[in-house]
Amino acid sequence: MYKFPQGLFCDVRVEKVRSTHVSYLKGELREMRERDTAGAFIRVYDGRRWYYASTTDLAGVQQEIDRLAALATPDKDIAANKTVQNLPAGGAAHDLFKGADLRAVPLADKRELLASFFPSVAGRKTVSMWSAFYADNFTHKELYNSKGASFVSERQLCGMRFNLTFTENGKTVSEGANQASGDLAGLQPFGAELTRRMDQAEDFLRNSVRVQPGKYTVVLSPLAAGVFAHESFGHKSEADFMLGDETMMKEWHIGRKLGPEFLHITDDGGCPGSGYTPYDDEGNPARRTPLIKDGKLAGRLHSAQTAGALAEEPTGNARAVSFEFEPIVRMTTTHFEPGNMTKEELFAGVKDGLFIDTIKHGSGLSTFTIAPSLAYFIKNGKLAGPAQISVISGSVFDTFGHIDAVSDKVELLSFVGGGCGKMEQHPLPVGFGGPYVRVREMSVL
Amino acid sequence: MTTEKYTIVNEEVSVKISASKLESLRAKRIKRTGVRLYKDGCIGVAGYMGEEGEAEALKRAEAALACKIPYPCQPEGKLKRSEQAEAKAFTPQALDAEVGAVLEAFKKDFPQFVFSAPGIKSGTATVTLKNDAGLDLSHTMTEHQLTWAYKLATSSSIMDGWFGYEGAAYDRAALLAYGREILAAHLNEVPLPAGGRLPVFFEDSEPLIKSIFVRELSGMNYGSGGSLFSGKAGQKLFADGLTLTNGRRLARQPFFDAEGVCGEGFTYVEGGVLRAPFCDKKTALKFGFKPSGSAYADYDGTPSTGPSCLAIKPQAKTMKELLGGQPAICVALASGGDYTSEGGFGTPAQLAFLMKDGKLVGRLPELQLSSTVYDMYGPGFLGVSADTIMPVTDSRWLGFMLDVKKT
Repeated sequence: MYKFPQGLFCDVRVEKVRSTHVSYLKGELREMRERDTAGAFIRVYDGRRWYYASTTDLAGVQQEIDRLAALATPDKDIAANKTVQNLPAGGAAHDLFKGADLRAVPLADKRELLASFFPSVAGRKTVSMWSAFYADNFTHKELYNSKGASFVSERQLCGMRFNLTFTENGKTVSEGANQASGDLAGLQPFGAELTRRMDQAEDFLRNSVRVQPGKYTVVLSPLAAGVFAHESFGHKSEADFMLGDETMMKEWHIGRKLGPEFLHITDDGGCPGSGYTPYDDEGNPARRTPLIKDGKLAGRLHSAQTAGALAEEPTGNARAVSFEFEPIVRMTTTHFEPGNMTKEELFAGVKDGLFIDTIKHGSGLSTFTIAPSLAYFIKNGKLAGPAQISVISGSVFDTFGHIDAVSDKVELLSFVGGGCGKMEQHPLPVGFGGPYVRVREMSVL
Repeated sequence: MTTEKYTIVNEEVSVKISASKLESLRAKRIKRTGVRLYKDGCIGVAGYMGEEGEAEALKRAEAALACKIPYPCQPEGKLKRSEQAEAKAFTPQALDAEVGAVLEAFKKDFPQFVFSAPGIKSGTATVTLKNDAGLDLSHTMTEHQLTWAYKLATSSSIMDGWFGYEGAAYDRAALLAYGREILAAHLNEVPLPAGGRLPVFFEDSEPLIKSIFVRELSGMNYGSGGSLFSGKAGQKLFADGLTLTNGRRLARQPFFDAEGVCGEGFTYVEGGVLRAPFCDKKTALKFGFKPSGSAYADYDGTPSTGPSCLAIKPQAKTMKELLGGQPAICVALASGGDYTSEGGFGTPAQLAFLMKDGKLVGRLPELQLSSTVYDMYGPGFLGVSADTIMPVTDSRWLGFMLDVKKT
């Protein structure tokens, strides 16, 4: 298909995406469109530097290959390069979508599904503002490389989100409800979730009290725990942060103890949902990668380059947010594994603490942060009223050491209309979730 | 029926640095075009990427009219205006060479640090909006985004800090001087001044600090009664020194919004008095507001109220004059904070420096900052400095008295 240059590694990733977006603002239709895009990302590697280009001119890909090759310095031993050896070779593989194809569903049907949930929102006197959207996405990717490999993979995701502002007696609260699935049938239970969130938000509006800043025992819901795992630890597992960094390698050595023995965190590209990545954007297959096992550092997330540099195996985590960008090390679905007690036992062990149910956002650097949305006081093991919290934060090392309970059932969550941000590449769809997680001594503002 | 075309062309070259080495060079040029039809109070939109596709998009936009997306406003017309960038973007080879030279300079002066940069970019964005009602707007902007991350070689963090700027101008000497000041300050650990409530400054382009206004002054939220500020137009809610306007130039946006409204300087808060929310034309019509030039649209989307470009008018005083000889905290990194529903504010400050006599002199420990919107933009408001943070940027220091604790 393409003529690849000698003495260089080259791959071409073609992405064809059909995306749908229907949105309403306070019951008025704002957007209703289907969009088809197609583009290619080209990489050339000479063993020292990468050269990249992206284009919407699919007929001009060969020109881009030739232009990039002219910038590079060929190496007759490129095949022996550690990075190149970690890239897939020879043969074709397909992972084609087999379910109910949303491209065949009329746009009007999707609009009707979204609108079917409006009466429950419009009927709430406290809702002063609301928006709702439906989105779906069918992505077809093809990858061809100079080692003779070719891949075709497809994935589909759909979902809805409602953003609601509640107002009463001069107070306001904003909250959302969302659901994602591989097909429309998976969205049918959304009504119950929407009603539950609206009930919670009204209670928060009427009864929430500001938390006094300080250190607290905090229980994280599966959603909050998933974000916690993602922000506090997941990004540090992305091995590109360790390249050429001996200090980080020593600090994050495999086997280092981080938390209790019942603490396990996994990244798994095979989980259905928004993090589903059967092949990454270099063509390496999805893997289930234990990051923490029995409380100890067990693995890292890799691209071909980072795996080669650290003498480890590729893990299928090289992902790009679109055809405009190069693949970098990203998470897929990252979650705590089941733990050591029931949810009821976990709550019962909290005399005076906080429960984080939903969140607005999170971030992770040296310190991770989570900005809670719906949160509650816990007194003597029971929820004791809604609590207003600006942010909770902590360092990874300290916080993991303060996890003292993890419940025994995992909920994995998917979303549309958002995702993970890393440097310039956002939002990348990822999945997360977990059990309920209890952490002592968290900083709360 | 009015036919309109909205075109965005992004041309960009970027260099990535990893572990103090040049890792990659990337170039791209992506063109996106949206075709809009306005007819009988509705809008139909369709788009395409690349050079070919207008005829097909026109057919799809016509079909999209059947969705009956309301657009009761008249499209803008009878205005022709064009602004072209004076500065030029780097070519790929020139950017590669320049970044390499600057990297070597920093490595030589500060061998203690490891440098990375996910994408040092230089490029041009051209946005045009034209219709058959006589609207012909075009803006070409050059922008360099130079963000350098650094960490001590002995650090186990992903990164310890960053410096850089975004702007149309480039000056190697200014960039080196700025980077050297920050790196030298980073090496000098200093204690937090006593006091609890201290002057804290951010770059005025820091989105976290103004996010309360992004949330509460959005026209739909404000007009529906769901905003903290709903119904308070004309009231003095904030400090005398707070004047908040549409700052498209500061945000390096085209002079026109996605509806062709030129809103530079539109006033939201004037001398502490709330004047108006920001909104697109449809929201303005619904509530009787004036369109503020704050419409946003995907290239193939319907315009709606977008993230605003909020600018706080600078004070007459420079940073040194604002501080009056007192030290201040300058925050380089405050990630993850937010405002509560009632306007309470809290954020960690993962990296902050101590400033004395207008210079960054040392690195403070990680901090926790808190306040409320009515305090920090009221009695605690220190204002925006008259002088910029460094010569080649438009960013200034924005300061508040905040409650400060060590983490």
